[in-house]
Amino acid sequence: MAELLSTVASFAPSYWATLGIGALCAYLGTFTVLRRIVFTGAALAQAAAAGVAATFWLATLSLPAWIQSLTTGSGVTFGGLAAAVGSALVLARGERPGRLTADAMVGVVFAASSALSVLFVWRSSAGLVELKNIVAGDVLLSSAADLRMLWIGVAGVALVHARFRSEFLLVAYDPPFARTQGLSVARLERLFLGSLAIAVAVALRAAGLMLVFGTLVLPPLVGLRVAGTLARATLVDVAAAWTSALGGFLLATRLNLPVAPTAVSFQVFLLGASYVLPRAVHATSLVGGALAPLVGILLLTWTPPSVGAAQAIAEPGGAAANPAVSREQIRQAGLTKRATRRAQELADLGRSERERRYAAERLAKLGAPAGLVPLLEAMSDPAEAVAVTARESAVQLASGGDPRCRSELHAVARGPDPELATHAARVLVEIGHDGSRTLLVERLADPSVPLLLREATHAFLTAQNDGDTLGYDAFREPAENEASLRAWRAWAEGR
Amino acid sequence: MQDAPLLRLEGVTLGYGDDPVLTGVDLELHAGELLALVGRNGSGKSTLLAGLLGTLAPLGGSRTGAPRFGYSPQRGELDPVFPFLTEEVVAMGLVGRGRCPRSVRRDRVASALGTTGMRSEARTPFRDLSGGQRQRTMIARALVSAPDVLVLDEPTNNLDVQGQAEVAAVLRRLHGEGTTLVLVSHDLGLVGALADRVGVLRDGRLTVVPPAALAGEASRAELLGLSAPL
Repeated sequence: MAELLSTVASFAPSYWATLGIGALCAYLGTFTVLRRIVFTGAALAQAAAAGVAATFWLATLSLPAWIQSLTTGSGVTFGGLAAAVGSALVLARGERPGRLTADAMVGVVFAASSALSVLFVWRSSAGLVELKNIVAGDVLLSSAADLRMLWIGVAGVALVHARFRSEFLLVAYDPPFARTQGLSVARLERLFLGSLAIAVAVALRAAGLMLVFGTLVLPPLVGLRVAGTLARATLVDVAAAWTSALGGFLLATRLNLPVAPTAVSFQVFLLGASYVLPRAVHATSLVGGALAPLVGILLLTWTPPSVGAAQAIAEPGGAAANPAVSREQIRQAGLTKRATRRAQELADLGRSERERRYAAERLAKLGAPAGLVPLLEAMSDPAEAVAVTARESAVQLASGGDPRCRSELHAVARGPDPELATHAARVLVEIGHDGSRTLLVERLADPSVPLLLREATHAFLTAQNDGDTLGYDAFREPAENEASLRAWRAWAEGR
Repeated sequence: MQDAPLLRLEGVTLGYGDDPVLTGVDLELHAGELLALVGRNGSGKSTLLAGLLGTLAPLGGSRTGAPRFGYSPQRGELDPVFPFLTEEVVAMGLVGRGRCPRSVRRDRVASALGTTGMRSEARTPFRDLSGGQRQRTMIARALVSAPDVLVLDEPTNNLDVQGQAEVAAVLRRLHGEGTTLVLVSHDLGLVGALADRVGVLRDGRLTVVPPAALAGEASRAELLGLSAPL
């Protein structure tokens, strides 16, 4: 129990975000289900994903610095927003003679967005790491910027719906009557789809396609199945979304599972239960659903000092026991108090392989040089999955984050620790940094670099050189590799 | 001397794009009267309604007067998936009509439901109502904003005899209370019994006749352009 409390407390911001996404998407989902525009929601989510992917791709191009600066941090979410809102405006044009049907337009947007999101990600340096996050999502890994954007989006959409809820309902229910009431159906349609697009786009960055789309559909179906009125249905579907968020969140952290599919599975379970259980039980489940988030809030707010994150950090050897990151190194490299504190919390969570992977991915999301050294260290993690995640995260951090990351990486690559230096050079190669090849080749010639690391570096360089070893053999004496090293130097200099 | 009309159409042409559906429409709507509109399918009834309601701008002619309309569309256009209560459906008639305190809104909804004999069903899900009850709810929704003119589009369409009788009783009551009504209907019996004047739509033209003109089978058939007497 103590460990459970510790885990939940450590991820409190992500848990709040999960509740926010649940409330927002479940509320809007009631509209999409009732209006039979479920796949419009799916198409908008996919369009937002394409926008995010396009932003990653833009970051790889040689563009002016001011454009490059728009492709990082919140710029990524804005990319998703622009694509989703643009698609919403296209879909809001509706059917007219001689045009595509509304249904076909949804299909076009969905198909085009699906293809483009994969193609853009494929060509971006963030690559498969981001593709995985876009599709499956993992709210536990959301950065502070993602969460901030999420809450701004939630507040904006909530304001729009507080003002226009009655109008949206009337336009959805009886458009001819709405016109005679003096309402502009087309304008309200654009406003509604725009608000849906904004909600989907901001939630997507924090939760991923799967959780967003699942929450748009499944909890509203539970609400409409259980409750007899729209007001009650909305309450039940938000409660169902929160219940599944809490259940999915706890199960995911305990069983080393990704949050999004676990929460969506929970939603499917609730939908099944709403059909199987007699209606008399529905009232009980309704109360249970409403109480579920309160239990989560209690877990978040009541954290015994003995298991709190602050206590864990203070424990002697707590950070040193963690193979993924070093608290002291974070402190030395730390640029901001907040980034350092969060990195420390993550470092001290690194007890299991799953948690170390979380730590590695989250360090990348911090977007600050403070996360770089721990990630390079984690590339030597005994668990291969952690090491791979750490490498992908380091690449992501160096290519998309703070520009100071690259100079930090360069400094480490020239630093005294041969292992860290090799990892840093590898990351530099992967992000296409000039001069990184030379750095790696120099490692081959340096007898102070451990044999196994020289061998690993050579294997990596050989892969970069289309499989040609250029005659180098790490097990030979340095003098016997002279000719080979000359060839490697020539390769590194592009001759 | 008769009061000034609530609405006057003079030489109005109505249509979509550049294609006129109705031409040369002259019509006056006076307070307290019940004007019925009849015609075959495709004769332009919906187009004329849209022109009256102001949701379709005239292609030509003039439209003077701007009464506030309450509109009850054809039954069957509403989606039973929406889990609205009867009182919630009626309250929709206040949307877009300015801010209204909750207590006033509640009183207005209760009053409109009372006028149509539906007060006891206020908390019943709309989709659970009978056809006649749904139509009366639609009339209450059109009434709730206290409009100058109540426009009813096929209020007895697809209703059983009981439903038709319920709706007819509500219309008779409203007409008796001085409500101005425009009624679109295929039910010539209902039209003949209630209307003060009848607008017959045929071949893109509107002809206004007294209800007595619909009394005989032959004259009905001739007015409506039917190939066989009713």
